[in-house]
Amino acid sequence: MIPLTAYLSVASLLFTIGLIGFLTRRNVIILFLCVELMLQGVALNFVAFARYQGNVTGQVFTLMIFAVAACESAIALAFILLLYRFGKSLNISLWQSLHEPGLPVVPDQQPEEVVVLVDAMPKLPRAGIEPGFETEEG
Amino acid sequence: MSKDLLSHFLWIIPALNLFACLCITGLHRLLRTSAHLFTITAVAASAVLSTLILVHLYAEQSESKQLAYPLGSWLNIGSLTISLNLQADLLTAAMLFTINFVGAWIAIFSSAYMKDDPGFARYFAIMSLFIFCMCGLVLTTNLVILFVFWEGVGVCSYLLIGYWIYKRSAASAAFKAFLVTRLGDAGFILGILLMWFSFGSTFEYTELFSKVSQERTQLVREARPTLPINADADMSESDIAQARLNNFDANLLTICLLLLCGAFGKSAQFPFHVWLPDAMEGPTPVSALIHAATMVTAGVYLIARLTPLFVLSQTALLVVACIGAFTALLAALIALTQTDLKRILAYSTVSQLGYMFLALGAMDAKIGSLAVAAALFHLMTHAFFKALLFLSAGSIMHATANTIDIRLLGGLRRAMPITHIAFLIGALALAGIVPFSGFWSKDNILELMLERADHDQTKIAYVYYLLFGSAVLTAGLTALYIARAYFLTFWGRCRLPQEVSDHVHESSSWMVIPLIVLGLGATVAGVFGRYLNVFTDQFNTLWHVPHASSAHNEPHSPNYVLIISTTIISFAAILVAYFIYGRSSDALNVDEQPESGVLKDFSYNGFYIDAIYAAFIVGPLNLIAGASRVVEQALNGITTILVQLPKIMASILQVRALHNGFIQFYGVSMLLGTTIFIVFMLMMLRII
Amino acid sequence: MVRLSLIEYWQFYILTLLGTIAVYLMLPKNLNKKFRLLRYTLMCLFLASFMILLFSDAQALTIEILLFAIFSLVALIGAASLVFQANPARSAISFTLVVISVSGLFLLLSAPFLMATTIIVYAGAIIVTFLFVLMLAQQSVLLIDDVQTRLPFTATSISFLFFLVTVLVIQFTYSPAQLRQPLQAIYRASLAATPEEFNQIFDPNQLNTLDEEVSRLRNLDNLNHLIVYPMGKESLNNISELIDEVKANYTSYQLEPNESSYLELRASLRKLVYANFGRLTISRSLSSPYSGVASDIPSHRIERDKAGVPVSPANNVSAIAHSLYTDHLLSIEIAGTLLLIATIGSVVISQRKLELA
Repeated sequence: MIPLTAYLSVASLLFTIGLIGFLTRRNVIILFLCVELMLQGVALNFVAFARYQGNVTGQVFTLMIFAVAACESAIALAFILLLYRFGKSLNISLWQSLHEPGLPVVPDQQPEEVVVLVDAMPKLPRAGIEPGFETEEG
Repeated sequence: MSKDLLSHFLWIIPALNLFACLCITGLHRLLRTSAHLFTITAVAASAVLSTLILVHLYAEQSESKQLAYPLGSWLNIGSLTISLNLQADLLTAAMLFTINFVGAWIAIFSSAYMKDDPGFARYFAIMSLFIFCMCGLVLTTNLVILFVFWEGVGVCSYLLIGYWIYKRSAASAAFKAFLVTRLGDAGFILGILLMWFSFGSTFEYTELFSKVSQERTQLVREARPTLPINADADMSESDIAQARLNNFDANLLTICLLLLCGAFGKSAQFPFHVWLPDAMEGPTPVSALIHAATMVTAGVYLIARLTPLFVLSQTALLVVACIGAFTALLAALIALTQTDLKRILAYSTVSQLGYMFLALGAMDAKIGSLAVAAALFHLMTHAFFKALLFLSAGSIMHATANTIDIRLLGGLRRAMPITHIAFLIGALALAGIVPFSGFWSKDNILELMLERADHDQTKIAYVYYLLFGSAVLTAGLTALYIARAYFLTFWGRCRLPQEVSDHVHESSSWMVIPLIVLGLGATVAGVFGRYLNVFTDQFNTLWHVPHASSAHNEPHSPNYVLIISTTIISFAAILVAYFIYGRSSDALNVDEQPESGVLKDFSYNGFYIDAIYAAFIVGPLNLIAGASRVVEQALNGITTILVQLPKIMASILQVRALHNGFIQFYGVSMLLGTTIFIVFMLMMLRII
Repeated sequence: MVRLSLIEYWQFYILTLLGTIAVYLMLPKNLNKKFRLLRYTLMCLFLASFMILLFSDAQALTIEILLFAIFSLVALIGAASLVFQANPARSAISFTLVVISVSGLFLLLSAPFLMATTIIVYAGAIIVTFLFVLMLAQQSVLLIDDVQTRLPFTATSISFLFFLVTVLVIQFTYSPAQLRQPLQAIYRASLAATPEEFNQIFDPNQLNTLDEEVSRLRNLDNLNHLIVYPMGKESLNNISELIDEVKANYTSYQLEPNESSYLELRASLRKLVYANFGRLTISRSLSSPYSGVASDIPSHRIERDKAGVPVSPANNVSAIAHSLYTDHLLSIEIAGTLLLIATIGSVVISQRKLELA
């Protein structure tokens, strides 16, 4: 029989890794993905308790977590799109305007050298029929 | 007319006016220049209804001449029950008739007078509200509800005096009026509270009167045992009873004096009269309605209504009479040298109100109802001729581009004939020339004074003789100042201000018709004196005035000596005025200062009463206010300094740098905080 | 009162340290391709030691433990790759891996409905939405914001500090290790069906054996700092009474070892066992019997499986449904409203306005 502490520890490690990702990464989408990861850890926690206490309240609450996570991700992604439209970038360091007024803006740390990697993003093929092109077959 | 239908009129009359006010308020954007129709319709209908009520009540043969309409209870807290019941006896009916009839004609006059004013709708809304409050005041049977309407008329007066809201003098005059009457109302409230404290929470008139009189009769009976006093009887008992009676009397006196504060405040008697001349800043129809005919008579109505209470306290009545007479004389003296026609009329109002109070002060157990009837009669006639005088002044102002300084006017009888006739009628009525109405009512009061002085067995009779003398003197002065005003305005060469000198003409018909109607009223209203016995009968039966004998209700032969002497005095005064002011065409030059004797200075400046108030009351209050302002600013400064402290601390500790706007930095700090908190909790729980 | 000695948990400290170093090195920094082997080795070492530490006192390797290990390792590797990948699309796919493994863990926890729901909602809807947004907002190149991390050392150290505190608290509260020794014997004794089995565990000839064990329970001050929630019908305050009861029954059993006194002894032993240790009993929640075991049953009468864990209802879906629509009706309605509002909100927010930003 697996002790309860095992499940809880796994959940807390999941949570911690998600927390590290949240506090570290700059890409806004990764940020929200890490939030979802944290929510997974919490859900695991709840379900473990539900099992070890013999009732389904923990599972019911996990359903609530799903509902909230779904809503939150929908709205968060809408916001991300909005921010992307304004800032032309997914970097969260662009949005520091809530700092204490009157203080000098702390510039974000710059990397030593900028690395550019071409062709890193997945290219989804175009959907639908290609418009009429001249092919070699003629 | 069945009695039921008439009792419905009791609530219809105030409701009509309230409805008119609400309609105008709600629809004023639509109405703009037709708001007057609502008011005039409401007030005219109320006038018709109140006439019907008055006629019915007069003709009724039964003992209790009153109509009643219960409206249910307003307040029901513990032992305090205040119910809204409307009741109309002859006193109320007479007041209603006066208010609505005069009000209707003044409303018609205002519709033409205020035609070009941008706040037209507001004027009529407030006027309707005022008439509603005034009708409510006279219709109610409860002292507390009366106070509510009392305040209501005060508010309407404030709103209408300060009608031209951009005029600074009007605003301060309204303020002054409200505050001075407020001061009186403070006394009124204290009187009500003391009454509550002494007699329990009975504020209905009939209950109150019966309770007070029963208590007093009981105490009197205890203090004067009917059995012959034995030599060895216990004297201390009757001493105690006497002391209790004295206590009760003193209590009642205090209550009456406090209620008098309210009456004097509202009716502008001696210490509180300073607001009425300044209230002339409002539009002239307002002065006619509120400060001549209706609101200022609320004080007289109050004392008339509370007759059974006052009759038990002779000292209070003496106070009333003295202050009334004193104010009448004072105001007449001041009016002698004023140069503003409206101010002359205002002081004249104060003076005539003094007459009414004098009449009320003359009541005692025997002639209580006569006194009230006399005061009421004078109230009604005064309403007519004073409104007439004010409306003529308004007509003059309308024609001469708001000039009302009599030094700048002259010879208007040729330019404005109807106004001239109207003013003349009003002036003659005021001066008490036969056969105009003022003669009958003033003469009634003088006769009453004589009778009272004759009847009184004690030394107080001398006081009443003195008061009678001062009343006669005042009558002469009244004739003098109103004749002066008349001659200076309407006689002499035609003198007009520059801008209207070529096209001054009689006012429009809607302004003239009320003048004519009121003029007719001022002429023939004296005939109502014949019906005074009706009033006295009803008062006697209703109020159960102790020891009231109806022997005095028979018409007795008029005191011809008195009539002739007063007529001679009035005519003499008019002749004097004619010789001083009417003959020479430049009686009062604008530029040259009249030779300033001490008396003239005193009279012109209102005996410096305003200045005394400003120095001894307003001045110290301003000082206190200034000191408070300084203290408050100091506190504000301290607060501002204190506010800076956290900022200084934060910048010392460099805490501000933590707010760098990086979300993830915030996240890290939150996490650190949470961790420390958990560790701390574990330590607190003695686990670690 | 004796406080816990933190030095007992030295394994966790080393684990945390190892984890900090491993994670810090693994965080993406400029597409660092140096020391790859070292970094991956450290990470695997960390995960392996974590797993071993969890099962440090397991008796045997059951299939359950194997499944648990597989699922949790895959979940943790997926989580690690989510965080450490520079490429956001790959992170999204790792999240799918995480979701699927966590669903597997749900299944192990006898929550099949949640397993299915998690896969459908997360892997089916949320991750797809993420990928769509990623595609809409994609750059053609891998920019600095993906590659460079913020505050790597601070975040990692503080997060692992938090992790340490959390895990320690879990161990304090829920680990049966502390009480394993005195409790095990008593526990086995309470399961004994016959007096003979009982005598094998606690030899009546050896005087006061059960007394000793039970007294050790009372003297064990560690009891006081177990963060236990209110239990069945007994609470921690009644433990002394239960211990007294056990002792009394044991004395009477020793005096006259017959069937009835044995049964009484066993009943009181069961009461003690299940009363004391909140991890194994029902919490006194306010839910009705629809949500599980009724909370007014004393804990020794609850049907339990071999591990002492209360038996879950076999039909998980209907149990959840019963509970949702009786005890948690308000929550369901609010969740529905929340979903509606979120729908409207996201439509409103993401509307394209015609003026330029």
